[in-house]
Formats: sequence, C-alpha cells, structure tokens
Amino acid sequence: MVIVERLINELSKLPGIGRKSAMRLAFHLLNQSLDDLTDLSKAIIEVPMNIKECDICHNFMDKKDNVCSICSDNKRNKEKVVVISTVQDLMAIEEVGHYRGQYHVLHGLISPLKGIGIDDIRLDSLVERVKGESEIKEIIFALTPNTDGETTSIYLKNSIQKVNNNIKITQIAKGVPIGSEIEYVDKMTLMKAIENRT
Amino acid sequence: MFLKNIKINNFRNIQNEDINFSKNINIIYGDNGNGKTNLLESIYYTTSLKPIKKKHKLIHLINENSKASIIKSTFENNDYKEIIKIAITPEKKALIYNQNNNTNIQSYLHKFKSVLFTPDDLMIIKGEPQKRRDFFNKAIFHLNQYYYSNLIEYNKILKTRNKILKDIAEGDKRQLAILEIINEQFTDISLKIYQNRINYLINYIPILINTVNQLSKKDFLPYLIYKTDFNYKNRDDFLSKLKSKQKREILYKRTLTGPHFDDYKIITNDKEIKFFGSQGEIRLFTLAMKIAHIIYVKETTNNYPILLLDDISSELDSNRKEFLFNFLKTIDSQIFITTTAINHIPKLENMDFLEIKNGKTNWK
Repeated sequence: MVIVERLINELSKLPGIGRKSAMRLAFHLLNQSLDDLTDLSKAIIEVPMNIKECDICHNFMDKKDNVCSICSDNKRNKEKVVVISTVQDLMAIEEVGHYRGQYHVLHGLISPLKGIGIDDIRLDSLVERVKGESEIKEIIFALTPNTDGETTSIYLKNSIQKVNNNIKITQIAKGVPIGSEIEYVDKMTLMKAIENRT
Repeated sequence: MFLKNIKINNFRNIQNEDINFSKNINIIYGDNGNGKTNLLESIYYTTSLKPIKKKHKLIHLINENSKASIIKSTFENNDYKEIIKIAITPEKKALIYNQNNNTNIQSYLHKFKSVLFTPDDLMIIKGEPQKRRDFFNKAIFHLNQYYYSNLIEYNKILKTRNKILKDIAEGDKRQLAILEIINEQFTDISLKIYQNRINYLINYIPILINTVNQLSKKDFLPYLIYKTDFNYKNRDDFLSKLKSKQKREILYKRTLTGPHFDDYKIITNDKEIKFFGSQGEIRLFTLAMKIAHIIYVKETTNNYPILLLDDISSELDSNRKEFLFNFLKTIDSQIFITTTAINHIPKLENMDFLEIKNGKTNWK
C-alpha cells in the first residue's frame, strides 16, 4: 500500500485537491486499465517535454517554435501590452477576441505574505521590453483588484517609468458586470462604479 | 424590529426552550447558575455571532451532553418575519438567514444590532486600549457597514507590512522597494479609518457630554480625546512620519505605529478618568458611553438596537439605577434584563417577567 499512499500524496499536491479527493482519485485510477493509465501519464509527461514559456511574453508555447503564436502574429497591434497574472487570464481575454494587441504574463503577483517577491515572477522582462527604442506605447494592467494586484501594478509602473517616460500606463475599469442586477452587485464594486462613472 | 421568538437547543445549560418575548421590557430572573446570562447570550450571539466573553471557544457554547447547539430566532419587522438559524458545532458555526446559508455576514450584523451592558463594561475604561478600540470599532460599524471592510483590509496590509519589515531585517534588501508601495497603501487605509473614527466622534462626543451631565449631579467637564501619533488629515505628514520610524521598525521587525495603536482618552476636569476616577465615576462613564451610542444610533438610523442588560442593576447605586430605568422608559426599543431578584429593578409599565431555573423558563 506504500505505492498507493505515494500516489495519494502526489495527487493532493494539486490545487483544489484535498486528501479526501486525492484518495477518491487514487482509487478510481486503481480501477482503470493499464492502457488508459499509460495514455494519461503520457499526456502529463508530454507537457514539460513539449511546452515552454515564450521568451517575450511568457505565455506557454510549443518548444519547437521560436516565439509564441501571439508574439509572432504580425497582424496584431504591437503598441499595446496587456499585463495579466496567469495564462488562464490571457486565455479568457483571447476567448473574447476583441483585443488584438500583445500580452505579458507575470505568472503570479507580488505577495509578501505568500513569500512571492519581485524575483519570483516575470517583472524584469516586462521592464526590458519597454526599454529604449521600444514599439510599445501603452501598458494595460489587467490584474486582480486586491492588495497584491495593486502592489504589483504600482511596482511595475514605477519601474517602467524609470526606464521609459513616454509610455502610457492604464488599468482596466472596475464596475458593474453587464447583465447583472444592481441590487445584487457587491457594495464595494457599486461604490467604485459610481465613483468611476462615465 | 424585535425578537418575537427564540428556540434554543443545547446552548450552554439551556437544553430545549421555546420562548415568545414581548416587544418591550423582558425581565429574566433567577438565582445564580440557572442560566440567565446564557439565555441573554443566545440573543447576543444571534445579533453578533460572537460569545460574550471573547476568549470563549465554540465548544464552550454547546451543552456538555450534546455535540451541537442550535438557536432559531424569529424577528418581526413591521409585518414581515425574519428567520435566523444558527448552528454551532465545536469546529464551526453556520448562519442560515431566511433559509439562505450564503448571507453576507457584514450586512447581516449591520442589520441586527444589539448593545450589551455587563458588569465587565468597566474594563472599557479601566482596561488596555484594545478594549476601547473594540468598543468604538463596533459602535462605528453600527453606523457604517463598510467600516469593517476597512478594518479587514487594514489588518491585511498591516500583516503584509510586518512580513516585509521582517524580510528586510533578515537581509532581503530588495523588499525595500515593496515597502515603499505598502507604505502608500498603509497610509491610504489608515486615513480612511481615521476619517470613519473622527466622523463618529464628532457627533458622538456632544451626546456623551450631555448624557454624563444628566447622569451625574456633580459638575463634570467631560471630554474625549482621540490619541494618535499622526495628523490624520494630512497624507504627506502621515507618510513622512511613517518613514521616520522605518529604521526602528526594521529593528523590531514590525509596524510600531498606526490606527491599531491609537487610544481614546476620557477626560473629566482635565484628568484622565482611567487613572483618577473613582470606581463609581468609572461606572457612570461606561454607562454613559453606551447610552450615548444608543442615542446616536437612533438619531441616525431612526431605530434603536436591541438592549441586553446583564445583571447591571446590582452594580449601580440607586441614583444611577433610576436614571438608567428612566432612560429605558423613554426609548422604543426591545430590552432584555437579567437579575437575581425582581425587587432589584424599579417597576415600569410594559414589563414581563420570565423565571429561569436549571435552564428551564417560565413566564410569570
């Protein structure tokens, strides 16, 4: 049973999986055929073997390419960069399809309480991107509106302005979600929405 | 709004009671150890989701012969009913408000307000500054629901700031840039908290002075001073004071100043009552502080909170008891009073008497 215990331990390291869920998953896997399990483990192991971070924007990409599909797309606007904390956030914006500029994925937010410092996420490479004769004209922060998000965007703003003073720095708007009913909107959001009315 | 009915299951020594209350004055009497305060606490718990004694844990609230406790209460608000169910297990408590178990706690607590008077209230004046901050934090929250969000945010930024100071003290100099940013956030949230506190005090202090003078035959010149290191109106001043302390803070690895260090000083005739007041004077002031808050709540929201008086009449001399009960007579609030003997309490109209014996209740 030591082997099963090891599997449970490994599974419970995944986000959102506690020990109970890990046990359920482990015993489910025990009942699968060897073929199915081989497919699953192949799918998992192929991720690090074939995927890497884009050198420019840190989006995930195929190892055999030079830059990611967004950075290499010449039809996209090169002057705007949206800064997000995760690749999931990037995918959410891409799914909308409206934004046709560049991205920069930080892979986290500065969070002193969680021990995430300035060297742990991809901050310096964004500052590098805007240095000197850069094509970039605007940086748009689309970070979670909490203390960590705010700390990260202020830090980046300060660092960017030190190396390039001509860049416009903006932040996505805070307000009432479209289609929602005013009475159910969180009070803090409603207050912000009234403050930032257009 | 008033508490019409409460059904209590295994809450402290009360095993199974179903009680209808009057919307006026409910006197709960019985000998010590029979559960008067426990009954009062079940109401306090419903309106604050906290035990009366801060250090009591959930398990202390549950009857020793049981594994869980349930309090179900029905409030009547003009012509509609509010039904609240609170389930307590040793691990956690659950609130079900009008059959919804996803209630925003902050707006719930803002809606169901109560003010508790206990013999321990003396500590608000005699105790450490934390006791006064707790009293005023709750009072300000009664009038401004968002004040708690501010406090929660403040505590988070404070924690972050302490962690950064510790990192820097332990040699991580890169965190200095982050500290600059956190200082700005710390300043903004601190100024917000000051603003809330000062707004409250501006209206509260005149009511307090008035109440003290009515309560006392002596000529008091009472005043309340908010004690802080900062000029709370000036952002630049705050920020530069904060920076001036930075070296020391890095040495101590924590924040050494801010709203969580401030105090409320109560002064009479130029002396701080905490140090110079007699026991009787301190008692008078704590009573006045609570009554003044109740008057302020009424003036602002047009509603009285529910008043819970735990064995307060035995603590007060006859003059103050008379004043308190004259005050209670004038207000249109639901009131619960516990006492060991009915004759400790001046007779008023609209009083109903509930006897409690071994956790069992009986209307008389």
